[in-house]
Amino acid sequence: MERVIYVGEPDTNVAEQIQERLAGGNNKIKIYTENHSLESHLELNTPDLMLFNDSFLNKFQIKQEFINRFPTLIYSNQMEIDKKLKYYRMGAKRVLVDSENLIDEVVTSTNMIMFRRGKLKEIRENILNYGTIHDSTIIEILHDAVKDNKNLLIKLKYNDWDINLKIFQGHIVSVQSPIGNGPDVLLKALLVPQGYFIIRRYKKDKEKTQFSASVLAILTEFAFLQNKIRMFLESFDIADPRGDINTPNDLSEFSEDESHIIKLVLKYGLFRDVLIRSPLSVNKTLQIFIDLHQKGIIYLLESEVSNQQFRDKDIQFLQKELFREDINEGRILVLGLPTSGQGEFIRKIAGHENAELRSIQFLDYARIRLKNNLVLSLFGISIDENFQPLLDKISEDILAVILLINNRGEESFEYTKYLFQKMLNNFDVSFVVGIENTNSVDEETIGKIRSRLDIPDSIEIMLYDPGSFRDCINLFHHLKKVSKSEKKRNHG
Amino acid sequence: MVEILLFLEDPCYETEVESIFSTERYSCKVFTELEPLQKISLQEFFDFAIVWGSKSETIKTLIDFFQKNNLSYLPVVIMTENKSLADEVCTLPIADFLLLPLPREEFKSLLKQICLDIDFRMNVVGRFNWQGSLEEYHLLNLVQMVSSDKRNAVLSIRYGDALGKLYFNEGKLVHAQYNKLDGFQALNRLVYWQRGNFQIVFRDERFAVQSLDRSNQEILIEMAKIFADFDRMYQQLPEMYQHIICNLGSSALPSNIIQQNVLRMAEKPTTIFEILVQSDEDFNKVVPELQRLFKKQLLVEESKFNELIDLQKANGGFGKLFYTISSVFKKKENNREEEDYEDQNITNVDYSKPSIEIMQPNTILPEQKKVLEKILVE
Repeated sequence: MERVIYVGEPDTNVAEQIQERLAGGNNKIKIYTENHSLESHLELNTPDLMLFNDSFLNKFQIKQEFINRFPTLIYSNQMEIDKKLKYYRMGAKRVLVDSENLIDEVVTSTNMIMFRRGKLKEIRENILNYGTIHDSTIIEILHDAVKDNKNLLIKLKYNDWDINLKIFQGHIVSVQSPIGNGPDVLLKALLVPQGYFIIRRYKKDKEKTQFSASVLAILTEFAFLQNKIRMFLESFDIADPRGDINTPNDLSEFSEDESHIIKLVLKYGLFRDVLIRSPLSVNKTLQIFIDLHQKGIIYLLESEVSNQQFRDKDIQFLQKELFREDINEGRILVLGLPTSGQGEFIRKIAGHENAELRSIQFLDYARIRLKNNLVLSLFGISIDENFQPLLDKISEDILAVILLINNRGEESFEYTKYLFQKMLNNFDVSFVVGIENTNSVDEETIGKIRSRLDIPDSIEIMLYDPGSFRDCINLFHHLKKVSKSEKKRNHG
Repeated sequence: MVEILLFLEDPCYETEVESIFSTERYSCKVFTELEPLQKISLQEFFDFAIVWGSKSETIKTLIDFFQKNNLSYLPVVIMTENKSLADEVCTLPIADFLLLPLPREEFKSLLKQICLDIDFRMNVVGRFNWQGSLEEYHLLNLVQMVSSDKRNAVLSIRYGDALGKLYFNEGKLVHAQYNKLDGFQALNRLVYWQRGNFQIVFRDERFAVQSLDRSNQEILIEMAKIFADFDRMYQQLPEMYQHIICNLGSSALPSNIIQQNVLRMAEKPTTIFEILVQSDEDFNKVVPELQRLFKKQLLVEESKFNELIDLQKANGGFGKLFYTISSVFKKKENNREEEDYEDQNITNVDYSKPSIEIMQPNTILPEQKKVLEKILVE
């Protein structure tokens, strides 16, 4: 497949040397010694890599967003370290500074970036098995491993959690996680509701294990636990409720184990997260949770079936705050970096509303029919590639913009800020910012994010759990318009 | 968490390495000898391999080891103070070459960029659930796995440009498609695939199309039968993924259109699997013709053919060449593809059934143990 590389270099001689060294194979090199056509080409095309001389970026004031949108290598004979780090924070793949062999380094690094984005990715796709986790994924993998006596190394990733499983001839050799290594961790791994897994097989002639329980025994115990969980949740008619504590009691009146569970409920909320993250066994955690619930210490948030769909008050809010009187159909944009979870957000809502979800690369779309003849179209767009052309196509009838931010994507804040400010100025609609609720997010972090992204005070920054339908809907309730004066102040 | 396998040429940097990777985001196993590093790379799952040193030989040895042992999925990053090393290793499959000293922030940004470049989630399309290799998960297993999930799904299997699709409504296999074929005709063309990739995508809506109206159990039995038929029929042919080629020097002629098509496909080195995938006919028509073509020496194994050409050049005469080709076929049963490093060392030479030693759980409490010992003494 042809690989298109744009070279932004004011010195024709240098540009030609780079072209000569990189041409051939599948590389197609396009040289830009001036800016006049580059930015318009970037609006319509997607290069596989861009090579920019720092002086070219400075001279022609190339928009910073391109560095994040497309894989970019920046080179210079000399550069201050602060500037170099700034480029990295903007999302540059590589910043090369060398006064002697700069062209050699540019060529070598280009080949390496192309290798890992192309061939290496292909190799990984052929060697590794991977996918997203849903309810029974891990059970299916384990069953298959037992059936065919497989030797597998399995890595599960769930939010900030990693669990490594090693299976030899269908028998568990080890389970490793941040909270321990025993069979109970495997039961917790089976409870993981989402995330992703990677599998590779391995060869060995002999293994030794301290893990005396067979996979089938663990699966049987899991079935027993699932049954117990189902019986407990049956009366609430939901799969994964959110727990809360009735009154912030003095924890000293509870046993150590009970205190653990109460703290987890306060910290994570979701019932399933409490089971998974508890230092106690699943069974014990479940029993304490049930006991505390029966004593009225833990209560489950309103968790009827209606909670898992748009309720009347949600619809009334949308009608009153977003839809004008004369329209009954509108669009809400859900923006974020590829890892910010806008796809999951729309999937969550579409799934609960039984709406058809269409996904193409960089865009998720769902059309949701609500009561009162309202139709809401949700567009989830990644803001790193193909964003501008997509936005141009769907920018009509926008009612609101939800910006999702992943606290881990700090190096992209510069670009996110640029884009968000641009949206604020161009669209007179309601905005809200959602931050995934993880351990590392606190009030101080939110403050920093507001300041780094220059978010006006009237726009709310809300914590949300992408796995919770109610949390997703809650973001709609905090959509607010920014006054012109505040926009001006912000812009100024 | 990013799990890193690090080879450190000079142990004096060990403290620095520990300090770099001390955050919760990283887990790093450091080795100053290659052998233990190689051993652990086979047994554990890492996200990165870093070589911190300046010997190109070490880097070449390690990359060679990874390639021979199916570990080439690991991005290899070189960290060195030796600038000239770049010239020696730049042609190797490495993910990045980092010249030291390097600010930590830059180093971590670079690792992050590599993670992003190889992250499979960046390619995710739709409600993708699972992707992998058919070498690990056979179609029969995949059908059972999707069935047990009881959801609407599309299972796609792909080898090169060839693409087969199986559609499930609430776990029930309702439709199979391969080129213009559907139903069992399509399954007939897909069931023996043991190379290529699969992808499972779940969907909310059901599929209206239906070409398979039997129960999953019946379909699976039928698929197993097709697979067994294929296995039985596939006699006296080279290994399915071994390269073969049309022998243009043979005086024999193809006797039907299938043979002609097969020979056309084998004008350049190919494999029997590729011929079966590309062919318009069912395997039960193509496999017998393949057997006849090998018998007539119109098709030969590429590796042997090259040897024979060399032999023929040395000795002269086509008669000698054909004599030697036929002798190769007599020896075919002993032919095996070159085994990889691990096979040679572990499974091939002195093969024994894999075994696992399971430690028995300690079900006796210390107090009970004391009582038991007392009773036994008494």
